Amino acid sequence: MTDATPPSAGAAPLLEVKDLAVHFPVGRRGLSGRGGGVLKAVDGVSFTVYRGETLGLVGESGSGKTTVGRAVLRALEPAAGSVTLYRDDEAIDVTGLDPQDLKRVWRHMQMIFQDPYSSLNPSMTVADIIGEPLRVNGVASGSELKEQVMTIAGRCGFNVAHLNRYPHAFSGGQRQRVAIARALVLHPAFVVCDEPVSALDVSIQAQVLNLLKELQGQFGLTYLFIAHDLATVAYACDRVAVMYLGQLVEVAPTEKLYYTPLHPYTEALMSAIPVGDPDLPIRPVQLKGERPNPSDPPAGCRFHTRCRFAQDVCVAKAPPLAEFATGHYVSCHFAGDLDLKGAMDHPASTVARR
Amino acid sequence: MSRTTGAAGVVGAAAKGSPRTRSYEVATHWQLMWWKFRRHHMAIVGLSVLGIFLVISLVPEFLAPYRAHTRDLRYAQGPPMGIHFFDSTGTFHARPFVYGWKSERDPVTLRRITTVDESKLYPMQWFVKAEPYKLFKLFDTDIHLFGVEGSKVHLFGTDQIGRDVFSRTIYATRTSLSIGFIGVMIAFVLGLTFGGISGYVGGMMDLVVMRVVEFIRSIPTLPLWLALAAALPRDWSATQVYIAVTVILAMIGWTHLARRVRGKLLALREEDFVLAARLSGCSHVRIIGRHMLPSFMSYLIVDLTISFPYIILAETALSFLGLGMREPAVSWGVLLFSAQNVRSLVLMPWLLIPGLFVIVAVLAFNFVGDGARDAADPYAK
Repeated sequence: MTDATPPSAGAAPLLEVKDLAVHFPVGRRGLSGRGGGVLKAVDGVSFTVYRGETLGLVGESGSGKTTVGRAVLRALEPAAGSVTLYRDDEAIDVTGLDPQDLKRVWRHMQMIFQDPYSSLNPSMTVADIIGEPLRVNGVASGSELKEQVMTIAGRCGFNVAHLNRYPHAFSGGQRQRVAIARALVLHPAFVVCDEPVSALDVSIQAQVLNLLKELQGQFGLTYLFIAHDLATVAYACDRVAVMYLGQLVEVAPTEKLYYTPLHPYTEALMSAIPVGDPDLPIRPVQLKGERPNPSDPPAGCRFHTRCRFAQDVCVAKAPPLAEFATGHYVSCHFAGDLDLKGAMDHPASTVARR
Repeated sequence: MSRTTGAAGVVGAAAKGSPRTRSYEVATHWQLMWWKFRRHHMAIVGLSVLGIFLVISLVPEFLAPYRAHTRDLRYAQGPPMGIHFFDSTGTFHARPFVYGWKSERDPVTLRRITTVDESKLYPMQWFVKAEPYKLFKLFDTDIHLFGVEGSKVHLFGTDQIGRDVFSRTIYATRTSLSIGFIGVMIAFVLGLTFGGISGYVGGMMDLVVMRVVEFIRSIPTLPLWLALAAALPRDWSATQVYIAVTVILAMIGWTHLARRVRGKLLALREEDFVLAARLSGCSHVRIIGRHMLPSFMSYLIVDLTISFPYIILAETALSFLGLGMREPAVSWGVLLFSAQNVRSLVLMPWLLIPGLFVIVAVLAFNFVGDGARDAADPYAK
């Protein structure tokens, strides 16, 4: 478990996301491009990322985690909502920027991708890949550029003697180091890590996670850490936000979320953390049914179709994401009234055994 | 694309393809492709054949002993001449020779009969002086690669009016291959432009371009060629017809390429490294030129290689039907046109030899295309 203390209520926010929504067109469309439905991949998500922290974003596949990460950077155009970046004393409204200004802001917000095999251009050398942001932004050129590339590559644990090689010469872990170096070469303040370790071997995962932590200290970075591996999240994150069907259901400091979850969905997630001992029985809280179709989400609380505590009110009214205890937000009509088990209360789990 | 397992795959490939592993690590995309291509033996054979064809198209005047329209009336309708090392008495000659011949008419059928005269030997000569020509339209010379002195040599025989089939095939190679080359280039530019607009801009443009492509492709090809070729004025010169035929073939050929370009661009747009480039602040021009184009250039080259034989075959078919190139132009199709009737097939089967060239060229392009397709993604196993 992380030993970083959760930011106090007075910590300075770096990024504020309000009512973010991303829609994708689905289904058949007419010749005019109209018609067909809309998939609300992200529907009204609000959260704040504080300076210097790592905010985890977890949820099952298709819950909209990656979409949130991309929409925050405006790599995807959000349909509604606002993203505000606080830089020095300036509040930059990311959602309202024109393309030219957006390019300038991207120097402060970068992204690390899940698959280091598709995130590096196979026809460029590693040095060119890392140096490209410097070159296209006119930050450095010539020997100065070379020097900066070598510095950041070295900091990321990449052998600088190999800079003139092509990505195909490297393993996934080395490639991910290159991708990290490229993201950090402009010294951004905020980095979206989109499942940065899930494509790597378990032994490499720890190395890359430690590297990210180390760099966070060195450069004063703030991460939005998207993942679905709860053990990784527990290790890497200060606070965790849980997504279900395009909405946040619970946001809390890591320990509180893992040990005293307030939302039935979080409880189910925690019970599903695999146990590192084949002899121990694992009894996850079974969710009934299937995840509803995100293009036609259920009315009221989106989780009511699978929640064992669901009442009439859950069908009628959607609960807002409200602060239940200090820093612990939950979106449930019965927050605090339910008897939910945390990760520790299940027979055994990786988290509990740490 | 099996990128995840790719790295391990190429290490093995590189160990075979390159002398040192070190060079593999700093090898460019194109070097990796070449190494992988080299392991495809048939493709190498095909490439060598294409190399020979290229030389033939560059200097046909030098390689052919005679011009395309030089007539040897004494040997008209003559069969291919054998090149011999041993004469009729069994004596070995270090320098190969051809026999002399006598030509007479059969008194009953009036058919022309050529009989070999084994008493006369004409040794083959290298670099003989014969008909003058301008090499590369620049240098006056009269040196030909081979020939005989005092007589003529017809390796593939002669046609009805005594023109050397070997020389004509050599000249036809230039015409047919250059039609293929220019046709493919026009198709390439059209396909890249329209496919690029369709794939990168998307939306309404995509819709319009793709419907046009589908419309063109839905028209049966042969009638379309026939209609377009029939529209050419009969009094056009050989050069004008040549250009028109090339353009007609390219107009149909580009649709296939446009679709491939569009598909590849749509796929590449979603690649993480393209998004990473955008987040790095790259302009559209740089994203297309530095990130997208190099990644699918290899696929385009494959497509070009594979579309080459289609255009060659199309030209041959059109000319064979008498709707493409016509005399006095010489292309493979024009040569085959004269082998159309049963009479010449029975009496002069050697007129079909240009057909072998077509087959060899098409096969060579297909083998090279196969090898290139495998090599286009050097990271796959």
